[in-house]
Amino acid sequence: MCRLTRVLALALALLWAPWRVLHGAPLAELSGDQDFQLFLHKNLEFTRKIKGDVAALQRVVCDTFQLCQEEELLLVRQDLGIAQAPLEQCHSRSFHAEACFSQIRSGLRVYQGSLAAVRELLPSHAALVETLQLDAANLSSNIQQQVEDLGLATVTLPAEDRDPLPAFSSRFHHQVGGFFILANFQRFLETAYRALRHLARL
Amino acid sequence: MAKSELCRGLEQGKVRITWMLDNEPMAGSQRRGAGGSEVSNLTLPQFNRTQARLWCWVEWNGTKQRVGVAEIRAGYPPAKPFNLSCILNLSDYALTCQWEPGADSHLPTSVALKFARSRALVETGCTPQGGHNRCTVPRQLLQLYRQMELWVSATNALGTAESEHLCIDPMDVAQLDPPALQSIQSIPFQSDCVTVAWEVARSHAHMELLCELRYRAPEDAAWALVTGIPGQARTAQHCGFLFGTPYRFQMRCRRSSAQGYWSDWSPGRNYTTHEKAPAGTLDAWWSARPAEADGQLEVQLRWKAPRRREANGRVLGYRVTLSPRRRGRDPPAICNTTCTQCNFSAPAGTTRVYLSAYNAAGESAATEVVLLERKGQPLAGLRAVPGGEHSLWVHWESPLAPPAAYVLEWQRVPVEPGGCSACWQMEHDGATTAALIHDGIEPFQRYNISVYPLYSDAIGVPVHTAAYSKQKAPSFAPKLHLKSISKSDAELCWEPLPVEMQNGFIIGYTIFWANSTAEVSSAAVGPSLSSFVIQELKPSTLYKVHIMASTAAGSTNGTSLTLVTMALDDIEIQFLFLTLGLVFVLLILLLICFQKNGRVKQQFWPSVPDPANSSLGKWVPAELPQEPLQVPGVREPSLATISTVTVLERAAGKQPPSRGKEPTTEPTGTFPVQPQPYVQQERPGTAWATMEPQRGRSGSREPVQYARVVGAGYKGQQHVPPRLYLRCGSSSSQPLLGDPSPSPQPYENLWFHGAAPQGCPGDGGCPEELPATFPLLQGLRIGGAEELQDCRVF
Repeated sequence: MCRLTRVLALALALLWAPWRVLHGAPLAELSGDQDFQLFLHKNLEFTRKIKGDVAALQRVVCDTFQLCQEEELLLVRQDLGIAQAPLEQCHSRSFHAEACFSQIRSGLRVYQGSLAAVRELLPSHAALVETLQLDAANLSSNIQQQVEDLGLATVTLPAEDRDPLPAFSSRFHHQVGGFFILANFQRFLETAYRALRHLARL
Repeated sequence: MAKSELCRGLEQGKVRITWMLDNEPMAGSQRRGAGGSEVSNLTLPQFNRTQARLWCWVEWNGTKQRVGVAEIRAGYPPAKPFNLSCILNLSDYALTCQWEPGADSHLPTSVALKFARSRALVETGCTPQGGHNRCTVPRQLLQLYRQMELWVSATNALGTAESEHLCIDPMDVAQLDPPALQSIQSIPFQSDCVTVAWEVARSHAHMELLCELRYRAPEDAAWALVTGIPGQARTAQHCGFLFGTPYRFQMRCRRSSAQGYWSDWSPGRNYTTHEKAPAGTLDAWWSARPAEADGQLEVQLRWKAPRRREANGRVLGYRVTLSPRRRGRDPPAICNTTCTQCNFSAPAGTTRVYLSAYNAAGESAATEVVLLERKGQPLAGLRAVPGGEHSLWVHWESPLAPPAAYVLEWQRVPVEPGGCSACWQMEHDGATTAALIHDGIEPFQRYNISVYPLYSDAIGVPVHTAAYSKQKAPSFAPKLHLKSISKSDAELCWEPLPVEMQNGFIIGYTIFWANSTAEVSSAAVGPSLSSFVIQELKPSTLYKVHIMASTAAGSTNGTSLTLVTMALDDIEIQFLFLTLGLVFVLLILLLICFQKNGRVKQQFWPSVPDPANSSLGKWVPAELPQEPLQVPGVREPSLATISTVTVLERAAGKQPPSRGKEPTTEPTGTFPVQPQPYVQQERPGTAWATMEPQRGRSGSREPVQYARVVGAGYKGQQHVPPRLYLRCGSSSSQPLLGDPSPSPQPYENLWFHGAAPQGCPGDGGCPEELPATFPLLQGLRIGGAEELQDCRVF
């Protein structure tokens, strides 16, 4: 129960992190920057790569633990308290580039840590999970550097947010936890991808 | 530097420090230093090796002791590495880089691949192992989809050198796996389009790829390339393929966002497009002549296989008919063949035949072949030049009336047994004046080329030429034959070379001749001639002659012919023979004259009557009147005219010319041994006196005035006692007969018969009574008839 509380606390922390939003360059200016376009183009591909790898791991979980359908695991999910990393700044209605980039970076960091649970769950696919973690870190770093290159405001994530590994009460919960980490990560990447693509099309 | 105080065991006293560079003694300068130390300084003025050991020695107990060593190394600062390149392996996302090292610095050098992520610190990516100039940066150190700066750093004791910095996104240098071609189909069906489907590797699924498709048919010289195919599309369609043609397809991709590396070409996949009925018309050419017997027309029809673009697949055969196809009904075929020629008989008056090709998908429209007469205007000119070893360029001048097309025919000389059905081609452009022919053209072979202009209503009269695609020297030269030879001329002839041995157009022959004094002469002979007369040769001289046959590309010498000129020419020989014949005839005539002409004969061989076989009664009246006639000047005087008989002296060593030839004039009798009573020797004998010295010495008597006796020994018969004969003092040729005995051989020259006088048998043979009527004998009897009897013992 204690662990569950901690996970919930982590989720709340992710959702309600104190954003420090500053004025940045208008999007119209960004869209004409060739470097920015190149950044978007490359990292869209990078996001696709990560999405592909996550999908591969989801297939592995499905094949290995017969955990394939999210609808069948909603009840356990409530117990696990695994939350989706927030990306509301990246939605088209409330799109804000700097905030979106910050949310993406933040979420990537969260999933980079959560993937450790998946690595424990799938030791035979540890290399793929590690690659995924590295990719998530690289994508985050790419965004950070691009934001810096653009002169946008950056957010320094609080140190206490770093990687509290979720605790699972049973092997099954661990498996379901892994399943939802991957599922959430996939959804997160999809949203991030759409946000980047949106920027690329401007 | 060595200090004696540091060395235990050294005795107090003189310490001598020496140096050796490896095994080479070096001279140092030794001095006393502070605190009683001994200091030796050594400066190496030049050090031309990369490393060495400098040893310090001290003498101890009479032996040299090593007391210290210094390692010396010489070298350069590290050279700058160059040509750095990297490639990302997508299986493990590790970046492998390689480079070229610079010159050897001769010093221990550490090399590392350094990198810096954006605004990050410099880190070491990897260090090469085992002396290689490559190493791999693991994934953990890489920053994907972002520029990284990489370079090679080489460091030794003298410094550090860095290669040019390479700024790359590792993904831009990813080595992609080739796509896998899945299926190839003709879609839509019956079109010339092909749809290709492929799969990219799963590890590339997230990438945007740009791919290339290439294909080729076996006959194609090069690949056809289709570029700009999006890799994610998974399928692509391309049109313009030939029907019924096997193609091989390959594909490769690279990332569209970067000018990175291409993947390898995928494994090839074959696909044969579907067939369609042949299209277009066929090029056809014919020769026709009326048959001898039944009035039919013998036609040889030749055609060219349709081009690939018109064949629309593999042609299975050809049909020739005498009438076109109507309403889908096929007229009977007079030829149905897979060859490209057909010989057939057509009814007289046939002017058109119809030719079509068919494949598995159908039959082409018929090509109408009109058998026109060959009586049109010919070309104005024609020539052929080599277009290479296996081709000829044929150039012609168009006739005044512009033809619609041309047909070129060529044939090897001499004609090949099977002929060449492919040795013709059609030029469809009536304005062209040149064409390249290459079917069956071989070097060193002569080809007769004919060009026919094709008019709308006739075929032109052909014009011919001959050509070689390449020439060389003849295979051999003709064999020389000597046709005739004289004192100064020799006529040579030769057989022209067969065409297959000429290897080119014979441009001429050269005749060389040389005698033993090595004077080589030559003469050029035109190619059309086959004989030559060498003039101004020396008589009776041996010459070596050979012929050289030449083409534009070389010459070949023939074998040598040796000939000897005559000493005389024919006229001289005829003259010589004529002269010799004349001389012979003259000699014959002379002999005949001698034989027939009595006077001449008598001159040399006087007729001497044989006293033995004659009687005076018969002889006198018959012979005497003739004597004066035969010998003018009365050689036989009467008794009254004989005044002296002189013994004729024979000239020493000289034979009276008439003596040997006048056997009948020789005395047949024997002379008296002692002629002294009636023989006067005017001069003591010379020639014969030596033979009969006693006779010479006896010549002191009073000479007898009526006779002269000539004595001479026959040459070579000196042992024979000289015989004497009596002769009239008036030099009459009538000998005096000293031998009264009858001779069995009255006209034999008894002078040569030394034994003859002695042949008389001692018991008789000589007549006892000399004829008293013989005037000379009468005279002799006057002097002493008894002496004549002594002839028996003479």
